[in-house]
Amino acid sequence: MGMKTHVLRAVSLFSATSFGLIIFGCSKPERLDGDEQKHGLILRNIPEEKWNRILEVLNADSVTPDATPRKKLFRIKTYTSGNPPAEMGELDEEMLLGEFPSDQGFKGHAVQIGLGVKPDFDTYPASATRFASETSPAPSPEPSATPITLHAHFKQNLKESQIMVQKVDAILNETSTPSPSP
Amino acid sequence: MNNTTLGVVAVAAAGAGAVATLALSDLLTPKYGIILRATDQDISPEKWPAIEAVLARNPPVTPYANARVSLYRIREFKDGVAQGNKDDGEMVETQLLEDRRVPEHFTGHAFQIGVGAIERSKKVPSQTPEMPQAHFRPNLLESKEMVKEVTAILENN
Repeated sequence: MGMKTHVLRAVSLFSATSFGLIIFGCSKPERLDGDEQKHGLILRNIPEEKWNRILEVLNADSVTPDATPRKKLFRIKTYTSGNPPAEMGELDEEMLLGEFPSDQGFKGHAVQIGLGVKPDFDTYPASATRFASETSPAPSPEPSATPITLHAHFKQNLKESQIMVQKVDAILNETSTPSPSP
Repeated sequence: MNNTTLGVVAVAAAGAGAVATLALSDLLTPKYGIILRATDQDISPEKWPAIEAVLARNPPVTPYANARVSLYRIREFKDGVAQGNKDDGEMVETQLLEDRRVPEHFTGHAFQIGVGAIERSKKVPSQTPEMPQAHFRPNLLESKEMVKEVTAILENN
């Protein structure tokens, strides 16, 4: 087998690998369902024995500095037969990733916990000075006709969402222990 | 060059190509937002009408998404002073990823285009039906579309 054949094979291998990666590498999935840390949970039919513990997490104070209270980061509807759903939480309806079920035929809890997104942005230009609240020096206020927001709450709320999801996920993933007999 | 050397070179080249392609694919994938701190040298004034046309596009291209005006917030500055009485765009201020400070003596355009976030949620149980009409998800997709269109203008010399 001549040198030319080997070179051709090498070039073919390189081209095939690159082509495959271009085809599959560029099609980044919109949502991943693997092990990547999630920032939101959309729940239905939560086991009752876990419900009270989840409520404790949701009602606790935010642990991320400058995040809004946790009640602003979840929304729950509890459906019982024959009654309009009871609501908890004040997550803006515009921030819901999924619609809640209609009243008919569903009983239980429908929940969104956390914002369900993670930051994905560019800065333009890439070299621009960053003023993220957690890294910036003392503020030099913008002389503006609109109020100055010294803390970017959205980023803090994303962090707080991630923490809430971790805690609730841990509860959901626990294997149920049998309730003590009376 | 013997067969072994040639094989090693081929594998190394393929590996380098793979890494380069992955990096390139990440760079080429549109993000979901742009944080602007762009001087007039970064974005020439002649480009702003085209960018404004993208931001004003109505209706949005994503079904069920909000009007684009609610998905950006931009303010022009001259020598560090905000111009006009209010920002362009109506993105809720608490959704800004960074605060409103700009560099001293900054002249140009600042703040944000698009929500700047990608969905990372988990459904329990996993077979919960998709509900495409919920607002935030279409707004994320519309943000990505806006970023794609604006980036095309920025990269067009």
